[in-house]
Amino acid sequence: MNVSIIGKALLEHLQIVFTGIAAGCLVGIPTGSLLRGHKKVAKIVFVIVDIIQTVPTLAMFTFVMLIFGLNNSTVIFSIFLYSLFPIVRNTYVGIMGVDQGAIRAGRGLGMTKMQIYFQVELPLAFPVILSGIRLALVSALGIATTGVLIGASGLGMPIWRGIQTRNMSMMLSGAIPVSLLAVLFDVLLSTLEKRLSR
Amino acid sequence: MIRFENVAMAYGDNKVIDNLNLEIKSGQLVVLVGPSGCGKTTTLQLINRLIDPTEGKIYLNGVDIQTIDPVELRRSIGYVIQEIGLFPHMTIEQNVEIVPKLLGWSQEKRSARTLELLQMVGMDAETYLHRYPSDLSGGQQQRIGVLRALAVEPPLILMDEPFGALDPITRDNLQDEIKKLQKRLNKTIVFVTHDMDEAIKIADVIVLMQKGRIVQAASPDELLSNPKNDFVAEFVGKHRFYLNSVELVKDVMRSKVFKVSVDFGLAQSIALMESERVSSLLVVDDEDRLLGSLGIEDIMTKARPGMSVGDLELKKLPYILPDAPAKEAFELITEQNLDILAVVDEENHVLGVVTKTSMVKSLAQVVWGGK
Repeated sequence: MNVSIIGKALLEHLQIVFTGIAAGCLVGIPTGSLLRGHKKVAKIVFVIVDIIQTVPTLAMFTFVMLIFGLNNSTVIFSIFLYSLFPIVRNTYVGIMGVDQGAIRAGRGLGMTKMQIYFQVELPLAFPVILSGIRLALVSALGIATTGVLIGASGLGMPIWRGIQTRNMSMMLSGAIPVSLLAVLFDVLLSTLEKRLSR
Repeated sequence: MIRFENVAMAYGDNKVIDNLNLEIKSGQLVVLVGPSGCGKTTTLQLINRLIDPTEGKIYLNGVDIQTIDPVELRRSIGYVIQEIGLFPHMTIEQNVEIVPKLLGWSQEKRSARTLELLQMVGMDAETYLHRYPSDLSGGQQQRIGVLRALAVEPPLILMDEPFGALDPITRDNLQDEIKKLQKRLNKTIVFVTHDMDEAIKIADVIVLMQKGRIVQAASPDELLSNPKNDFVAEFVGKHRFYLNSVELVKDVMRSKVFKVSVDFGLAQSIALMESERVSSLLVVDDEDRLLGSLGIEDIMTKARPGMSVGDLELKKLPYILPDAPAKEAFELITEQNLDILAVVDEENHVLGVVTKTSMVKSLAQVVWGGK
């Protein structure tokens, strides 16, 4: 197993994860924001994303596979579904937690609703939202690893091959990078969160 | 500038504002004051349409504000609120430039205005522009809050308990500053507070509210000397000494007076001042009629050995009759910054003096009671 193969697997792994999480943000942040002020709808949405979150990975792959087939798209879509729970919930909590005084100040100064959302609410809620993204991202790294079982690429492949061929170094060449990635993203995003919340 | 006509505002059956009629003139600092829940903040928010009335009309410079787009309206009116007035995620510069930016000012125009504003309150731009509100003290933050409201030079500024969360000294300073700024820039300010001291200190007109209605709208003096009913009198509370000021000059004057006649020697005069620890003496004629006063500095600069009091030019001393209200004596002393005010009868005979000390004593009696 040479470095270029691991490098390629790593890039594919990141591509799968980021595409899924990006989709999760694109859908999750607006959804979480729109739920503000609609407590009943919020409850229903939370139940739905919570159920999605509870489905075991392989079962999820099975369902999604029916639509996308045996490839990376199935893994990406599954990651997207799993990421909804932390991102929607944290966006909702973050937006709800914005100081009413700040919103009133924004209104009083003559900001439109959109200006208040983008210039006041979203920036102030962002540390909380980021924390949701971090949770989603770290667990997505793990989900992407199991993607190898349904024929997806990524760092799961060297691990799986290593297991099948009793090749310890091959297993580690996938396991070590994926673990390091998880730790790295966790630390980076936590630091960013802390710096952003004043 | 602003006129409320039969304005009412209700949440369901709960009337927060009831039949409010009020005229606010241009250039005035009007303070809305009252116990919590009296509708003062609601009244303020009606002006920039953060809340719309359920009945009645509000006119701004003769235009019904319901016909003005709320966002446009708010951008044309300064707004300062308590505590979290500043956005914590924006620098001081970004905070001050919010409204100019909303109005599409160019970068150069914005920067120039921000510098001008910071200079106005004596804050160094280099030091503060790129800091975040959390790096500043409460007083500095609220100063920036006021600057932000002044940024696009609105003729009207609304302030909702802006100094409520500050310590008393900072608060006092900011009250002075805002009063000065208001007079200098000739702004109309509507200011909400629950603190009567603050209202009396800064207001041109105090509007005292209770249960959504105006109880009395008057100048601080008028409110204090002529409260409309018991509620006003009670709310004005400890300031009521003005109300009972039947106290007369003769009640508060000091009758022990250090006086000398014109033929008194200067050396003796100095000795008298030294022994009694006073810096000036009253000068009277043979029949005890007031001629003027003599200060220690006059003696020191002009005296020659052997001269008497009559050889020096005497200072004119303001005087008052014993049956005048004490309040007038106090006003004379504060307005003209006098050390001493003579009390004389109709024939100009000296009866006593009123000093700053007698003023303090008299006030202390009112505040703490007893003699």
